Amino acid sequence: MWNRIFGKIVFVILLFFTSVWLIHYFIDFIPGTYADFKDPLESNEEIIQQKERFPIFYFSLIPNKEEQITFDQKNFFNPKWNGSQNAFHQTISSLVQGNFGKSLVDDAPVLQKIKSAIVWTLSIQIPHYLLLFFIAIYFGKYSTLYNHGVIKLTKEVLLALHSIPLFWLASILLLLFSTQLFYLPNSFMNIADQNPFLAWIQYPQYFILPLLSMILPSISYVSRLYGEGLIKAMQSSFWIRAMSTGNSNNYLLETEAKPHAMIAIYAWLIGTIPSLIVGSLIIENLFAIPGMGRLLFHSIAIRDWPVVKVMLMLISFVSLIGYLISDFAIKKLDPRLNHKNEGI
Amino acid sequence: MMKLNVFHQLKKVNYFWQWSLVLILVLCLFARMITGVSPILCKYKGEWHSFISSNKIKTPSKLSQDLNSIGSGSFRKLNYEFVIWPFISRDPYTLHLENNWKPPMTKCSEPSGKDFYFIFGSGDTGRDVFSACLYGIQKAIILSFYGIFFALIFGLFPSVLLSYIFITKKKYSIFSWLSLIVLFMFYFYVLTIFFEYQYISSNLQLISIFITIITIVFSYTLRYKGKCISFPIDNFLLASLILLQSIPAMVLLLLFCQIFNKPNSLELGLLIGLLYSPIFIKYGRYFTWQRSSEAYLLSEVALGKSSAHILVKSIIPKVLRDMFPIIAFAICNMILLEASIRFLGIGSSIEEVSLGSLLFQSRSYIQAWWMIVFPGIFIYWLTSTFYRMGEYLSHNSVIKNDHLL
Repeated sequence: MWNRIFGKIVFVILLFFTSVWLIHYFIDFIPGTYADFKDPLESNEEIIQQKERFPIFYFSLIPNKEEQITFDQKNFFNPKWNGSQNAFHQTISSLVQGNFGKSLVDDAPVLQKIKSAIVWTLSIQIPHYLLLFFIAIYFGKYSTLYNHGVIKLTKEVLLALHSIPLFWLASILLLLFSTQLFYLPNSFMNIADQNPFLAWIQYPQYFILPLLSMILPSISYVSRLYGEGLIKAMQSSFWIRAMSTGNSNNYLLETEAKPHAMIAIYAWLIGTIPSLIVGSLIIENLFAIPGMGRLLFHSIAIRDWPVVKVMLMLISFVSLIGYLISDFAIKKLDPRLNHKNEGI
Repeated sequence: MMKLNVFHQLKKVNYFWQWSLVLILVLCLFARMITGVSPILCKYKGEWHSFISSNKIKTPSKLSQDLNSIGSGSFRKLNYEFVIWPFISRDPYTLHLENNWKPPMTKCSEPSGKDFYFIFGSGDTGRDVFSACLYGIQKAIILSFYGIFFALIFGLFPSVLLSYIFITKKKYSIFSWLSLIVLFMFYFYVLTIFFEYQYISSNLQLISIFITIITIVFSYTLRYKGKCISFPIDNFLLASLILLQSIPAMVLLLLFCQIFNKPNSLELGLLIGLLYSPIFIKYGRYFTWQRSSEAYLLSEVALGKSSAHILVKSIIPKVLRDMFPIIAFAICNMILLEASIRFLGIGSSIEEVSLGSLLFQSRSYIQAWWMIVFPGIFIYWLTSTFYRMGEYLSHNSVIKNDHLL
């Protein structure tokens, strides 16, 4: 057991290092720097220095674009040992020292920027998943057990909403409730300086449209996931045994079928861990929510690489942790998986 | 008594969605015949010209010369010997700056004095929304087909091959494995050059072909020479899968689009295909494992059929059939991904016509409801059609699997 845990942790650490290396590669390939997007009159020596490129890894096989003069002179094979003067080494040593660098835009520490953005993202994403979880579980149960007209209609509407693109639904809601009816605000710009959790108490109307846009398309999927789990449990042989005990249907549903159906729901919940951190690029941009998605989008657009690097590494790290958790949690939740291959 | 829901059993696609798919394909194929400013087919001064696939005119030709000199850019002003015009004389590439943000069914006049209607209204540059939606459908479908093609090439086929080698516990010589690793590293090197310079010289292309042939021939001829080992290739596949999925596809596409600046349909299809390859790898692995465990394959082995024969004749066709629902869902997601990235205003120019870019334009003038409603309805129509087709196909494949069991 411990060997397996140790092996998995080492595997995830190796994957994380590989992802850090690949992130550096990606960023290095993207043309342009912050200096190109800034007013030339404001360009100072500090920024010009930041345009200099470090080699990505300990060794390199091809020359940097800056080293080439013309296409005719290209010699694509130029193996070189770069020593510790490489971006990968410097990033890892900075991470170990707890130094995440500074943003090129306002010279603010990257960690501080991420902290303020992550709070906004969590203030949207936690209620989003909590509401989705409870609504979907409730609806999934009733839509499985009862099949009258209202349920049928709701199911069809939710299925239709599931196919609607998120950005279109959000745009339609904005158009309807904000532009035409003036009921709800269309942007978080006015409350961007506030603490998001206090904003929830003072200005809850700001959160309604983003939450609706994110929850409505997902209810159908999660409730079906739960409903199908219930049906599968109720078609199993243990359900007949349970029925023969003479207990009430509701009691049996809670004690026998629900634990089976919840396995898929817990797996889905674990899978949502990365999106708690990443946020929604589209929703945050459309409603001007100062969260992680918006910060990442703007940092990429203006080539604020210190911020982008740390954010991508954080996303990758959280995703890998999510993978690690799901790997152990699913087997813990569904002990049948541990015995699946026995006797073969 | 509790009633079990039949929701999960009612997955038969109805005729509406079947005809919907047919209509999408028809619109995709004949968008330029329905709406456009250039003739579908014409004969001008003895030369035949067709504008079904693109608006580009053959140069040098009499038509291209006279279009600028006599027609002053308008095809309608020329006298043809034979001509077939599209049903509606509107084009999303023609801008009417004086008629911007016009609501649907607004009557406007051309500089020549001829009246016309903006059926679905116009955008910020006076672009006709109706023709832009039709061309947007065509673009979305073509892009998703490119994406599927590249996802099959980069995702499915390698995963089927590698999983099959792993499942059958094939042992090959160390030289054979080493030469394949060298080939893999060489392609990584070429890819690095491509991303760094966005250019691959003809010399390097020739060297790539040469090295590929040499290593494959070397690997094949020496496959049983010396000590044979099995390589944990499936573990590498799994690791690459986890690695690729550790960063959301949307973020990766955002980064890719920055590298290519303004990617065209083929480039965007390639990028989306690359991003979808992990999903194809995952399902390719799963279906290969499932199909390889079928009993009749043992009889094929007993009959002396080679592994390559079993893979090509039995495994790949079945895995491809199993993949149909996944492909339908992937088309749906690719359309959404393309529209999302255009909606964010990434990688598109003012000349770009796509459903997502129309929605992006609407963000600057949210009162223009027609710019939100019509492109959105078309995106919804496309995605729900492919989603329903995916559901129908997955339902059918489940039935087939149950029948086999």
